Amino acid sequence: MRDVNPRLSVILPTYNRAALLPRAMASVLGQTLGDLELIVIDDGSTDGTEAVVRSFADPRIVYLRNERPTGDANARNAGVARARGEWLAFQDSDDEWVPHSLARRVELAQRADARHAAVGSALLRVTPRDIELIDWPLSDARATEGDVDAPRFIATGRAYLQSVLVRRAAFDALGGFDAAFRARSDVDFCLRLVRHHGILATADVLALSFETDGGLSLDPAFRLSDMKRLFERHADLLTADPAVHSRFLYDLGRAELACDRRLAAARNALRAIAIAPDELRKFALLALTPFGARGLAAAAALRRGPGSPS
Amino acid sequence: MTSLVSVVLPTCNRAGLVGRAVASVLAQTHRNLELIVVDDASDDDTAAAVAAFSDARVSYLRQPRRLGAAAARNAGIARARGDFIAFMDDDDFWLVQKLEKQLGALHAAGPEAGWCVTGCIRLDRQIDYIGGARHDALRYADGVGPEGPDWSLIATPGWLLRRDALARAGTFDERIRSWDDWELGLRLARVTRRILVDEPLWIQDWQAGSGLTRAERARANDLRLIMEKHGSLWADRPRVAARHWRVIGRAESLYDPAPAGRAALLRSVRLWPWQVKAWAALAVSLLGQRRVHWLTQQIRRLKNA
Repeated sequence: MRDVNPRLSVILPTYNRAALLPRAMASVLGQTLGDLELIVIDDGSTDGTEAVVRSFADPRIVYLRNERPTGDANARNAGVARARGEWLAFQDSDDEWVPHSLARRVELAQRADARHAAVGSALLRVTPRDIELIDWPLSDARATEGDVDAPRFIATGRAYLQSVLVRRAAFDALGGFDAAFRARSDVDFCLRLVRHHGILATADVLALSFETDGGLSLDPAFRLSDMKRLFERHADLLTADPAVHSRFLYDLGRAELACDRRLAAARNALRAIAIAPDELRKFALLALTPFGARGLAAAAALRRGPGSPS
Repeated sequence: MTSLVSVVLPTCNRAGLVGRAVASVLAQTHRNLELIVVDDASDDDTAAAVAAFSDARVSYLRQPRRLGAAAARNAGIARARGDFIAFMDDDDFWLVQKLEKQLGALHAAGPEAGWCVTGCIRLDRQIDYIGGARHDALRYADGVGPEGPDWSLIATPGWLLRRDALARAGTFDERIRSWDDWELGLRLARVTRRILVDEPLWIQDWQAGSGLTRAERARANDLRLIMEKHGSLWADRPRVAARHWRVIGRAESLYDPAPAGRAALLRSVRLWPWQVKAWAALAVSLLGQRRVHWLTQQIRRLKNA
């Protein structure tokens, strides 16, 4: 029963999301392509997550538990260490895959060649206010499938692991996730990946990422240090294109402002505008800098509207 | 909840997509269901695509000749054994907890609530959430009125019905081409209470084939005909008439070359000036899609920043 190696390993780290976890797990276990193992890494949850996982009683589940939280990067790496599949997929506890997600990605993987370390797909990011389509920019912008355009991907500044399938061999060669990053280890990983490898992507929507207001309850100081570390590691990629560089400076400025470092925030906002004065929000950030972290929080609350949780 | 849910899936010539719809039904967390696929005399490999699923809950029945979606749904209803009935379209797909959540809502609301609808994510030129709180349809007293169809709350893939409520309302009217669902909805609203689970539980895929976008344009044509024949019905309700003209104008401006649609949109705002959507559609028609897309992108980035 368990001596057949599954081709696919799904890595699902989770921390205190017992209420949402069933949706994420059910969408993996209900995939049309069922030849997989689902490795759930319980990263020190205290809300009965274990009981939820056990209630599924599916032999494809591997349950790992850390008594204390170790962070996303370490949790995922631990999951991969146990994985036996040739391809790795990643799931978060507040996400959902559409039922044909793996089948479609595997179909794509069969068309991938030695240049491609991963295949990718589009996903829907669902927040209380908005639904956004997040897809991989393709070299041929009008195609619905093809090679990812690395510079334009870098320009987005985001990475969504739920939408990729990565070769195990490539993952190991890249050294996995870097635990020095508290929240952006996925972005760092994807940037390292596109340096040396290609990604074959489809425009099909194969996953949904649900985000509640409040997003990362991460200390702004950690977010800032992540951004600085990203810049140190990938300065060449991030400054190659003016638009990308400007956008990154905007993100950095915003992170600085969240830490109430007004001068640094203003400096970065100005540099962003100087390089590429093309987006309203850059000017908005500059205008907010005198008001510090409180101003940023107030603006965010205004955007969300009255009567919503802060 | 161990209630048996019968899912009726009419399909015609979508062999490439129907598997996706079938898979999303079979993947539901609520396992006690039967899926009745009604093939409306397809000429392609639909039968093989369905046969590829070896799940015992799937049954396949083929219409003797092409009779349309309403007849296909009725054929499926006739075969259904469940206490609850749901429907599916061959180019859409459900998220895994759809039936579970709708069943829970119906059970909580009690037997006088016989009809549950749910929000959906529409994939089109843009991505939209179609649901209750953010959508104006449910501000009308019963949500489904002579005011007009709300395209996606009326779409059958979002429905879950108690069998007895459907029996009281009757079956789909097979003479109606495009809006057999709206028309049945009008009858359902008279015999049972409708409840809404206001979260995205299914995906309506309008990108799946150009056939559907042609359908949107064709429906606007139908609506124009209805306005020309029955416009007097809404003579004392300019707001409703305005909404119909807005729908017509928007479809024309999107699918036909400029300046199509502007006359209808102007007519709409003259009838009822307080429509942001109509003015927006007019602005798009005048400014051009690309400029408007840039502007909305900027605003979106600002909001999500």
